[in-house]
Amino acid sequence: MNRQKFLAELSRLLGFMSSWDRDAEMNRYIEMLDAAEDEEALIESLGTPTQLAISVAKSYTPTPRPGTQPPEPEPASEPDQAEAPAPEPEPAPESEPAPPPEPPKKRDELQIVTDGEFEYGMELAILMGEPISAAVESALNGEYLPDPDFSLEEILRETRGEADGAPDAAPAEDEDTGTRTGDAVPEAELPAEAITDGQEADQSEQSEEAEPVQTTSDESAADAENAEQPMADTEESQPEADGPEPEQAAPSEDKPGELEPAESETTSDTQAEATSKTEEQGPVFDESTAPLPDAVISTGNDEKSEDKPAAELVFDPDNFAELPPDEPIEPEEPAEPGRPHRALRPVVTAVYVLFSLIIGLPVALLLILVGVPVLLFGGGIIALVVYAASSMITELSMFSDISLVAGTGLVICGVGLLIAWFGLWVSVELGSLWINSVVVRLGRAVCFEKEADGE
Amino acid sequence: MKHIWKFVLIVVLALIVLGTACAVIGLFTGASVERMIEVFFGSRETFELVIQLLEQELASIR
Repeated sequence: MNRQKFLAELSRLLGFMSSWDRDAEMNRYIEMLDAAEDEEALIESLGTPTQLAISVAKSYTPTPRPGTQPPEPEPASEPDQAEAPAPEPEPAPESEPAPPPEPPKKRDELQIVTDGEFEYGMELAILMGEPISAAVESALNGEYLPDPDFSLEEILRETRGEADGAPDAAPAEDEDTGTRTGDAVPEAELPAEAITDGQEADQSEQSEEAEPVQTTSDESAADAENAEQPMADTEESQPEADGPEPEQAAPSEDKPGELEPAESETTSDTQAEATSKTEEQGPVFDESTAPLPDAVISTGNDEKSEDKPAAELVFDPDNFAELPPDEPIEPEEPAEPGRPHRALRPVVTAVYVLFSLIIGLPVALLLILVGVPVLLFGGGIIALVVYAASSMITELSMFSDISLVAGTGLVICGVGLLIAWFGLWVSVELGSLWINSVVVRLGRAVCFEKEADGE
Repeated sequence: MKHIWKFVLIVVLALIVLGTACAVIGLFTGASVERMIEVFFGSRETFELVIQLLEQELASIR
């Protein structure tokens, strides 16, 4: 990696810092590179830009903007405030009235979406019903960022306005806004700073840890915006670069209410707290072992899903004791036969068979013969065509004559086939009609006893 | 029986269409109708005789 690439990547990864801090940091590395004899060796010794950005983020304590008055709170009391739970936010120190805040910058100018965040954002955006193209854009813009203190379910609930936490977050922010508007630093330079307020406010509701002292003066505009959009707080509450993101996710599983170090970077009031938190974080972030933000989300969901069904699925035998005892199932009665069994009258049957043979058979033959002439006529036509075809082969030699005779023969053959089939059909239909509808039905009525006799 | 009817009708229709096509081709290529009558009825006289018999049958029916 050459110098330009290294610096560009590092500058991009340090987007979570304030502009003056980032410039100072970048100038420091530029000077180091300028002073180095072998730039490549120095770059290799520094590690990858991501690792370097992580180490910078861990030790990063934001400094007030040059030319502005730092906040007044005493540094000595800060650790106590950070450790002891403070249910009520401290009133903001009196200072100069804040000038009208500048609108916060767009997220994508400051935010870097990591792979894990992108995957998480895609999943969440798709769950929110966005089309794929919009989901990709939202994920790239960092509109859906994982929050280790929120499960995916809670985020969805907040977004749809169904959760209880979402309305609660807004008043908290309103209170914060009211206390902070008179702070010294006039403008909301970085949305990241404002965003951390939302994060801290949400954490103050959920975690055991006290709400940190948030006397930042440059948050008023962003706070007002956050108060209107609670979901934006949760979404934008991760303004850090690639490095700190997974690092915060990992320890937050064990300490869900604990503040993340990069979030406490907003003011000098929280510097000591941030430093102490940073020290508590323990080992340096390792990209290869750190879990992705997805893991945090899934863990949160698992915990929720494990709790809820366990509370609902409680077996209560009393509910089942009131049920009536099972009644024995009676076997269904056998279905009645459609036709009652009637006794056969043998003598009548024998006489009927005799007469049916004498009378019915000739009649059946006559009916069958009705169709035979038609069948023979059709067959004769077909035979004529066959004869014509044979003579055509022997007598004709011209293609035109052969074609004409063959075509005519085919048409005549088709007509003959239709006539023959009609004759056959007439014979079969008349014979079957006579036998089934007359002979058999009459024999059934004559040869068996009446219904009253049998049943 | 209905299926047989369908089959027969399809075959008959195919034969009629094919035969008509062949006959039309033969007529357009200069085939002789007299020769065709000779092939089917043996001679011109036999054909005229058959025609007369049919006319008599139709007249008796009317």
